[in-house]
Amino acid sequence: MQRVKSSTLFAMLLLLIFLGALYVSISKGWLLSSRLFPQLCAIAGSIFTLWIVLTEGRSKKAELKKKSFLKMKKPAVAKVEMTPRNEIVMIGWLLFFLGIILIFGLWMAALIFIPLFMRKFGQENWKTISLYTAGTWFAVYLVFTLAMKVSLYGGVLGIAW
Amino acid sequence: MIDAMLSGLYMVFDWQVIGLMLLAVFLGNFFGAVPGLGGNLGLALLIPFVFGMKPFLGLSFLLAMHSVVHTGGAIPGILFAIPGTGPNAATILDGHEMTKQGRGGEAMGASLTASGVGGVLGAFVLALLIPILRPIAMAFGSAEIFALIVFGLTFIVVVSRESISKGFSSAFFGLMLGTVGLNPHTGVGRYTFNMLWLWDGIHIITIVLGVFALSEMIELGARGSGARIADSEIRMGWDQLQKGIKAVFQEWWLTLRTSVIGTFIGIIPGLGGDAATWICYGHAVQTCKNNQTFGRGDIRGVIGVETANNSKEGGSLLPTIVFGIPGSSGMAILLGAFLVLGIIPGPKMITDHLDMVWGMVWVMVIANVIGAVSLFPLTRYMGQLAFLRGSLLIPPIMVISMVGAYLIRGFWQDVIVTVIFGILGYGMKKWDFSRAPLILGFILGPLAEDYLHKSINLWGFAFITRPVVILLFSLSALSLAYSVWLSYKEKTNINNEQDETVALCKE
Repeated sequence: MQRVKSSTLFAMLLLLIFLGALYVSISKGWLLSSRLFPQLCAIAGSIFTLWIVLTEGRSKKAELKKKSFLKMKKPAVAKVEMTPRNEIVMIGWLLFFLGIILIFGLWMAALIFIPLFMRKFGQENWKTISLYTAGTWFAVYLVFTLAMKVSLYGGVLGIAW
Repeated sequence: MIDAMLSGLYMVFDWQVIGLMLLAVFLGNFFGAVPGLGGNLGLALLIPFVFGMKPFLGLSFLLAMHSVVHTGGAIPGILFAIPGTGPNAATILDGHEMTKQGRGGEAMGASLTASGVGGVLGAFVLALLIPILRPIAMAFGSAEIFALIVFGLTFIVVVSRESISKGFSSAFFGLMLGTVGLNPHTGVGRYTFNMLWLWDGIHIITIVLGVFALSEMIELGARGSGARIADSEIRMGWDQLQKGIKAVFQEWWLTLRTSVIGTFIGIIPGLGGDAATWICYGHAVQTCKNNQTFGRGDIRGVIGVETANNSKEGGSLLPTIVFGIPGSSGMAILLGAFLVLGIIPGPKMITDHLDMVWGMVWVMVIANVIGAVSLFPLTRYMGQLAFLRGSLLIPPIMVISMVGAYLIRGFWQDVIVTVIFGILGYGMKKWDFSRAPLILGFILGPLAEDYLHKSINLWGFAFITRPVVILLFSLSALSLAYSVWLSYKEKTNINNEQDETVALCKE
């Protein structure tokens, strides 16, 4: 039941995006040729997503879907149970990485994120962490700075090579 | 013709040309395999190196590099769901699933072979089409291209048979995302919210990196720090590669079809490589028997995409050299390089320099063969990477994805977009919203809108009465009806089997 609810919520989020896009296209006063295509997409997308919102929560449908899912013989990848907590933790790590990229730039963020993630999340030993961080950082430096001569984002602090 | 063919071959078998081609193939694979680089950047960076070279030497170098970009681009896609280039995104659907099942070697063997074979076939189709190109190219105006795009959009149903409503929802989301940016016809900024970086719209790579690479990493991490991409050991031995290679030849009819389709899509300027691979993937799903395994690690999904990936390069070269109209963005850069080298593309290439055109065909053939063969020995080592623990794999993949997202246009906002799509992509994966229609819609949407406007401006709504348009619309309707019927049949079968199981349990 929990799965059905969260899935409906996700569909509702998509519906909100479609309706928001439709509202923007109407309120901005675009020319007909500019708004025709986005409006058609937003309306059609809203209809399909509304259908999902209305039908997704029905338990019979969810049960059938679960059975058909099993029938599809999908490879058994997820041997370890995924919990909402794990998912939130992972999304948190991703957002943390984004945050430090925006502040410190890509170079420093990589130097901060890799050891922290490996230690806190993976409980790796310091030797592996050091080798890995140095290796990844050096590979990025070698390819992008030395070979390609491109400058990576330096963040708000402007830390760039 | 034969004289020109042999003369072209003779031009290629020069030690300088061969030497430069080997270097170009290495560079092409590298530019393809590193996300965010790609063939266009490679061409742009290498053009200064060909200044002062003999014309054929310079063009061999650039063409060989550009021909194999997608061969290398499939590798990170298969192993980590990070497409090296945009057109490689479709390879992930089945290639990465195969890796998860421990069949990465097979996927890699099929991918490299299909790329090589597709590239060679594409080059030969290019050669065969040279004499009859003009009527084919003239038959495709804006209206026909629009009809062809609509035909491509019907594959949304094909790639989302698990839930058609969710597939359409994803596809319309993709179509809508494709409208972000300045409207090329009116100059009106749509959904740009006065932000300059959105004027050119959202880049496909930022979406693909998020929806596929980051969402896969979220899933991997959510399974625990000890989880691996592949639960069973990835077999990368020669026997696995051989299995993949054999599959390409066993599925020779599919290989041939997708190569030819890829070449034809390449010929039509403006459609691009992304459209070619997705259309060929849809074609493979629609026409192959027992197609319920597509998207769950079906080798035919890899073959269909990878043949199209490389064969379309042959197709896109054709209008570039014959009419001076670049068939793709890469060819536009290459066209500039041709001019730098003193080669003037146009109909005279066919009449006065046919040997050089054949030389280009041979360069593509040889580069594709070398590109595929040179990667075979490396697959064994690359495959082991997918067996690393999540705690070791996630950090570098995330770093590469973010760097790739930033490098595409140099906008830090693209990094944020990638993260947003990573989270959204994870939601889509978790709640069974197929991710392929999103990408298909995003790629084909702007093209559809553009050609629709052009067609209406030229012919009004009467454009739908043009013969080729009627033919393509009819094919679209048939394709749609057939896919819906297949989906209905599949669901009915599942329900019947479930009823039988319930009845047996009750007994």
